[in-house]
Amino acid sequence: MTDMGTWKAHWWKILGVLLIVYIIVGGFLFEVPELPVIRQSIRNIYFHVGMWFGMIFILFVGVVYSLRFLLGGRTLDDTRALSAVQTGLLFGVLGLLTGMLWARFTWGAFWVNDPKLNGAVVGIITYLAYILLRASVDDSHKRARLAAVYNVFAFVLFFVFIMILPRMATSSIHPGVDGNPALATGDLAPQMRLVFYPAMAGWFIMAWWLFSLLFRTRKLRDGISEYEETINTPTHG
Amino acid sequence: MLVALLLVIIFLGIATFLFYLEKRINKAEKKLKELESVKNQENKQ
Amino acid sequence: MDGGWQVMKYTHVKTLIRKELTLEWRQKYAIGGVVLYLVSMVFVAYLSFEGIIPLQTWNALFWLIMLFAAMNTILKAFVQEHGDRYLYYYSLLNPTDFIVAKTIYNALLMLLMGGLGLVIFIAFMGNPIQSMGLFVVNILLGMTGLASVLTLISAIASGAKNNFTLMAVLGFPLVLPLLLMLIRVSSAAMGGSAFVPLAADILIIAMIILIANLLSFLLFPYIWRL
Repeated sequence: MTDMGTWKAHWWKILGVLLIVYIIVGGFLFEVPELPVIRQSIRNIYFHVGMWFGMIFILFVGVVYSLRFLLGGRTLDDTRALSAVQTGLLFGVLGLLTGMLWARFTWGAFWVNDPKLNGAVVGIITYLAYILLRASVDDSHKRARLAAVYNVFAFVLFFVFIMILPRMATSSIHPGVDGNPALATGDLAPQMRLVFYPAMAGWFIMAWWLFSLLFRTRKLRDGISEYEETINTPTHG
Repeated sequence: MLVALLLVIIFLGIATFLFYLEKRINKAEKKLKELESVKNQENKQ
Repeated sequence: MDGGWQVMKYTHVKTLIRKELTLEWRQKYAIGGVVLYLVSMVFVAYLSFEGIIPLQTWNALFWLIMLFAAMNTILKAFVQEHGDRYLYYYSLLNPTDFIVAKTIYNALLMLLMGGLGLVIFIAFMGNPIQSMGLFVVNILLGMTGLASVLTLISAIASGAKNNFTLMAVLGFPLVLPLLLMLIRVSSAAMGGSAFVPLAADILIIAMIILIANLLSFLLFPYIWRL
């Protein structure tokens, strides 16, 4: 990775890695305002909220590819959508874990019965169902179509769910009863934005990178099996 | 301080692994393309 | 890709719905089965609770039983149709007619089920509902909503193996927002709430129904000929 060509292709990955290193250092060491109860645990916002947004971002990417598949019919777009959903699931689980760690220190338990936490679980179940759906269709063409349609339907309804959650969450103890706490500019201390915005960028880049790696691996695997088939059944034409 | 250092090291480990994967995938993609083009030429002949 | 969205024909939709109703009427065991299911579920609940049932439990039980009745009923919408009959449809209809007819038919069936469910519930477990009007409106919306969301899911699940499991797994997370809103409104109705303070919630339910129908309408053509 020394010549210019590869640098041009890879600079954003290095930027992503640097950003994450920066937010780990900045997130743990920079000054944050000390509030009662929350205390220093506010630092988790760079990780937890960042991963959650990364998940939404990459799931949205997945929907775009599902739509492209439905309109264009190229199998690769469906493979892209699957890779995006898998990345989204990983980020969702990571977001849940960082959230649980935070909850342990702030609420005293890893898990509490709260609308927002349950909402996160519903999101994860939605996409596990997507994986299950794919597993239960044998025909690849049919699988791709059904999965793409479900992905679009599920994303929109999940989004609606996120929008109406604050209404049900009036009794929620999760931060941000109305809207998103981290985005409202008045809520986040100015010095924290120095880390928070790069954190968003960093997690988005990492999500995209993971997604592309997953996609290329899967494409390779398909390519290899296709190649092996042509070797085994030689076509003389 | 120590925790941050530890996490940075873990993360850099993951990142190195990802770059390694990237390299492997690149190589494999090239290899597959070569094999396919050879195959295609054979088919033409 | 297939067809795209042609203009749908109301006569086709009407004919399809009529055909579904006639079929249903002929095979009474299907609908009879669901009624029996409703009665036995309510009876089990009645036996296991002895005495006064807390309002919240009444409400949750009601909607859960309705949800499973809905999944059972709506799954049949596509699984029952196979092979030859589909070939016949392809030649006559376009997919939008088909999904609209199926959704309307399912909604009618669900409304029937909701009405029956309410009567059976009240018969067995007493009537704790204070504003009946609001509760009935909520059931109307709720049954239409369940039919709207689950019809497309049923179309998806019928294309895969393990239909029923898949229907539950795919459907549950997607109906959850609707279900939570319904439970919210109906518990308010049980407490004797007026319509006005719940207007926003009812609007949200209506919006979910609208979105689900729009999406089914747009997406179904892509899984129609599989």
